[in-house]
Amino acid sequence: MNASVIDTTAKGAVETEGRDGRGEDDGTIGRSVKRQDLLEKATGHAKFAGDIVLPGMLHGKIKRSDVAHARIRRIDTSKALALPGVKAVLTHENVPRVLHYGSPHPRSASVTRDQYIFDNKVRYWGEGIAAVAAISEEIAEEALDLIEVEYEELPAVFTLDEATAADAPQVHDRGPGGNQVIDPIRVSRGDVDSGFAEADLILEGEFEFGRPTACYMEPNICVSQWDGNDKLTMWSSTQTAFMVRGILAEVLGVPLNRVRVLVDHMGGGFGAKQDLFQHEFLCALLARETRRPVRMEFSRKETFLGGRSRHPGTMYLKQGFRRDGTITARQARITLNTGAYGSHGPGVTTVGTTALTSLYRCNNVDLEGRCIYTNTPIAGAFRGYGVVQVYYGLDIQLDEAAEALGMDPVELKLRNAVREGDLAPSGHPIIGHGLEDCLRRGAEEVNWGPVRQATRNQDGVYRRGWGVGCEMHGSSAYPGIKEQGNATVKMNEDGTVTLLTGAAGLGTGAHTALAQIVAEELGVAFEDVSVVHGDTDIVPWDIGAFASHTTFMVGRAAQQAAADIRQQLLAQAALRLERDAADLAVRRGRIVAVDGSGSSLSVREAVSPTPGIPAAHLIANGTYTPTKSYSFAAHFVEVEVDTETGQIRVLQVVPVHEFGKVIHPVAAAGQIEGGIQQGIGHTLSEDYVVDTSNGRSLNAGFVDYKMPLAMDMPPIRTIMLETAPDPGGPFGAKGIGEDPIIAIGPAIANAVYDAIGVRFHCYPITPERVINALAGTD
Amino acid sequence: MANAVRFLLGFEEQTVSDADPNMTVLSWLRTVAGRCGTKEGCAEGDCGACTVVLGEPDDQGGLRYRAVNACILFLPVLHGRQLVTVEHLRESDGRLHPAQEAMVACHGSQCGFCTPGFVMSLFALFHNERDADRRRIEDVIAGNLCRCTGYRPILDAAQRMLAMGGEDRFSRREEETLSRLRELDDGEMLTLAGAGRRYFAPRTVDALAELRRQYPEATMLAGGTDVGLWVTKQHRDLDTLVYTGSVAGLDSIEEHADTLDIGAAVTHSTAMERIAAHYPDFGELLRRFASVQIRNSGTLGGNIANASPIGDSMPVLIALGAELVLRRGHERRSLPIEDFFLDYRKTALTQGEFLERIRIPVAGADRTLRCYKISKRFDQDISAVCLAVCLRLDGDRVAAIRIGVGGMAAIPARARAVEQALAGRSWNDDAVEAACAVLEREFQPLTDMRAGADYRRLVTRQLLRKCLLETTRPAVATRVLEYREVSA
Repeated sequence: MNASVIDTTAKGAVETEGRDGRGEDDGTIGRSVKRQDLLEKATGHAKFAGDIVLPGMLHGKIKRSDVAHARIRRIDTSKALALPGVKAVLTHENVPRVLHYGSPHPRSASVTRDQYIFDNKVRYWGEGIAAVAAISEEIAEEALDLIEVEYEELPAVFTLDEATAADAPQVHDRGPGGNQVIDPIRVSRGDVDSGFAEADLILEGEFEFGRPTACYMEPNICVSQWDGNDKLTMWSSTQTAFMVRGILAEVLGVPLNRVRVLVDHMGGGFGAKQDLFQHEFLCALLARETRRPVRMEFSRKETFLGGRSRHPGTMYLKQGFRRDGTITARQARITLNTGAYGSHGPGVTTVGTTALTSLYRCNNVDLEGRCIYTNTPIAGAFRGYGVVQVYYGLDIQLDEAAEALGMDPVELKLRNAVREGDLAPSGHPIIGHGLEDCLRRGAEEVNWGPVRQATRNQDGVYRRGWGVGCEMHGSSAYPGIKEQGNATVKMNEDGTVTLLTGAAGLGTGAHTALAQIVAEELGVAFEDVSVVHGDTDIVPWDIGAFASHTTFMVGRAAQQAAADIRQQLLAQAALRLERDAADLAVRRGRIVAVDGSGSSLSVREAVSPTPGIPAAHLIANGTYTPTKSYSFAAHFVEVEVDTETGQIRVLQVVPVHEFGKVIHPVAAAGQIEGGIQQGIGHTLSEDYVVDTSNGRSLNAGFVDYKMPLAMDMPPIRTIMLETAPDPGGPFGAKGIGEDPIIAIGPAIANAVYDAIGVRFHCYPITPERVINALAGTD
Repeated sequence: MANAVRFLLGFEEQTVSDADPNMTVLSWLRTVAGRCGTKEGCAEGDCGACTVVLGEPDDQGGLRYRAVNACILFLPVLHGRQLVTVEHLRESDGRLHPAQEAMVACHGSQCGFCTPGFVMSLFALFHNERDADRRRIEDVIAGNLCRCTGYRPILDAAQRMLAMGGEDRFSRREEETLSRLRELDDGEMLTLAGAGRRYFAPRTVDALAELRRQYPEATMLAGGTDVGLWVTKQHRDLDTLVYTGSVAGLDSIEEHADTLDIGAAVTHSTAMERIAAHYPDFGELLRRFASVQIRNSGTLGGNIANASPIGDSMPVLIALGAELVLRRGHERRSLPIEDFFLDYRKTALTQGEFLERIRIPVAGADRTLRCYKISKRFDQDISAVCLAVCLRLDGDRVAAIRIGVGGMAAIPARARAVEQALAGRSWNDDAVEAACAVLEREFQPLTDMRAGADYRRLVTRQLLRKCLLETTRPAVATRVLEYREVSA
């Protein structure tokens, strides 16, 4: 079995097992080459949008509401405008009133058209209601305080119960009613009634999900400038430059070639930077009004108030099991709280609901997902996209079933694991047996049976437990969103190669992986390939870096473009070598005859100008329209619980992932370790809390929103399998970004149960919840 | 009298005479000096993206480097110091600093936004602790948040850097830097006026006392870890600032036979080392209560004088029976620390008075201190509950006991009724159970987003029980500190 093992307990050693005897020289795929962006990052020279300084630049700030639901009766900006240094003030009275999608997939069903730049209504505490541009940040802040607002307060709904009550106040006038963003998502297969009828065991449970947020390190920021030809240039920290361009153009009423969006480096997004935010519109409008460049940067607090969290919500889950463990029926009612605007709510609800058709096979399912407006901050896209929530409940209930049936959880999960030919949530057949492979390998790795035995009959203050959680996640958002991957590859006259991609550089290392793919396909050295990205005027269109899209989709497109270049290159070489191109191949930067006969040529010699022959012009495009592909994982976790204080520590994690082909082992492991870090935070400590009496945010900042530090991270022994390569992905590779945050949660919850015998159907599992449960007060 | 801020930016001398005293170093770097490598992630000293390193003479005639948060550090504080940012580390021939080389080699960066801050924390580590082990490195980088990597590659990078060893351009030029720093600071009081605001950095306690009397409304600035937030988060104008960090003697620790006498301007880092030498448990608590950057800037005196309701050191100082020396003009008075806190952010300081020194009784071998902190995250999280117990046993009888609690009232408090319930009794389950019942009545904690009142009460009782267990059956594991010893 091919596997890369990144063993953090052995201080980062990378072992490669069974690599078909390949040596260092045999290509770049599967090698942890030096990332192309780290030198500039380590020296402080990497340019982020916030580092852009333009002559005459103004600073924009947003005034945010201090009521949760109100009509704006009067808004008076005269005092703010009179403040020296203030150059412009915008409110709902003087910005274009265009109803727009919050998220940049305007043609898909994932999102809702329910936002204005500014409305005459306020729908949550902290929503932007006015914006100022001034010569300094301090003056802009001061001007915000001078804007007078008179509200007519409206009754508000802060919880799902309040929002779904009969005659509840409505957050929006649109939608099917009852504060629903969309009609319920219903998925039905087989017949659940007969499924439950044939069950020997029926389990049901209610689950409750907290509100973790992405907490990317770089707060949202953009800089806008209009040139003399009325063209807008915007530098923005966004995962979706082309989507930002599209919506800006639509709302501003200008054609696409008059909007240029630039993203060089961005300081993390994790899905949450794929909406178009209020400040991006406002920045463009303030710059247009003042004819000066304008910079708008969120404070950390604003990344909470104006950013996007994961959807909090609830789930009712009921499953039937036969004595042998077979699942006979599954019924679920998922209710997600999208906050004041739809954002990705419809997409998250759809993906989350349909995810319950799979992971563990079941022929009889009846699922319903609802997405509900409340007067709270906006929930949107975030790594794991609806799947985090539902698999948390699903996997915990499987653990419960194993106990009730007297089976080992791994055995139960193996019995029900989806496998080759089963229908995935997307409706496509699953390729290979990835989930089974992950479970088997992980159980073997941690010595599952004996370690679980060792946790029986503990009676000390500190109790340890082992748990396992599973997940699967699609590569790319297809078919929910009709995506495509695009790439342009050029060969320069010295034989070096330039790849143009529209996929943003979130920092995952995906650009390095793309360069590796191009190098491998072309037969040249990785170091000879450079990547150009982040300029919508130059690079090919891309939907954005999210949904485990980049390496899978853009990677395949880049591979196609590189293959095209290789053909062009061989044709050039054929002229010079006076051979048939079909007899030639590129090996390690040289063009040689396949049969080894005759002379060879370096790539450079094949394309560079020689007397009488101009340099070859080699350029090719690749476009990839995918099939659907799924990656799998099982996470094995050991925890320790202090039964006196309720504190939980994760002692070690063994994540086993299957994603077809590992392009860059260290970068891939980096995705897994980073996802586990976020997952540990979400499961144990992170929760963005809204006061349910008035809608105020209680911990909008790092003082009270706590994510893991280095000392909170356990040793992680990462195992990456290549047992189910996808014929659609580049060299068989599938996506990896979304996956690692999903299985860790239920694995921890199951391990906590193993340690102390208390089930938690919620996250985060805080010390207070643990101690209250142990004391029987919860 | 000096009236311009003079410092070294890397190796380049800077003189800033018209600075707004409320301007932060981060803001100056990014908007005035055009050095954008240093990032702003939170502007409240929680994320470490703005980490820079300050070089200054130490008390042994050498140069010391310490990591601080530039986002809450006021520019005038740089006077007489060297400011090192991520852009300064490369050698002039382009070679990377070991901190940078190791970060690149270990893939210690993903999105890269936190990277400059980590590089600077590693740079300080390179200069201060070549023998740090992995556990210690985790502490050292606890003031730097990363959301991408899971930290493992960064820890690898730190270890690789330490293994590389050697010198960098800063250690090679130490002598030169020291002599230039001496030239920059003439030893006189720094007085600034800019943007309609005043800033004084007196050099003697007498001068400080005089300024305090002259400007009773002035803001006393020590490490700025709290005051900095008043500017960056609350957008307050601090018209007059009196900086305590240049006052001779105020940063000293005097060790007497039975007390540690700590100047109000001693940083947490320095205080921690010395107190922990007497009370190891206090050191363990302090390790958890702030990042290296905050401990390098923040002072014990500032923490007390600001009467922050959440300061974790207060319950411990209460348990230890610390005394505060308050000074107004030439008059001094002393006060038990528990009498200093009157109400939320209200202290016993009178107009023109300031905290001069903190006196902590030193442990006899028979006194045991136990500190407990309960929070959602292990480090740098505001406690739901903090409990400190200082105990002297005579056989199994409680000869003396003092208990400080945090999170149980609006201010850090002494648990007098609980102490009374235990004094003179046998130190056993019965006594502690009785004390738990008293504890239940003595405090009415709040329910807020950090914890519920019931949980606070319950867990405080549990901590008292834990204290009994630890002091009577030391072989029993009672803390999750040994978490690294995992099964193979």
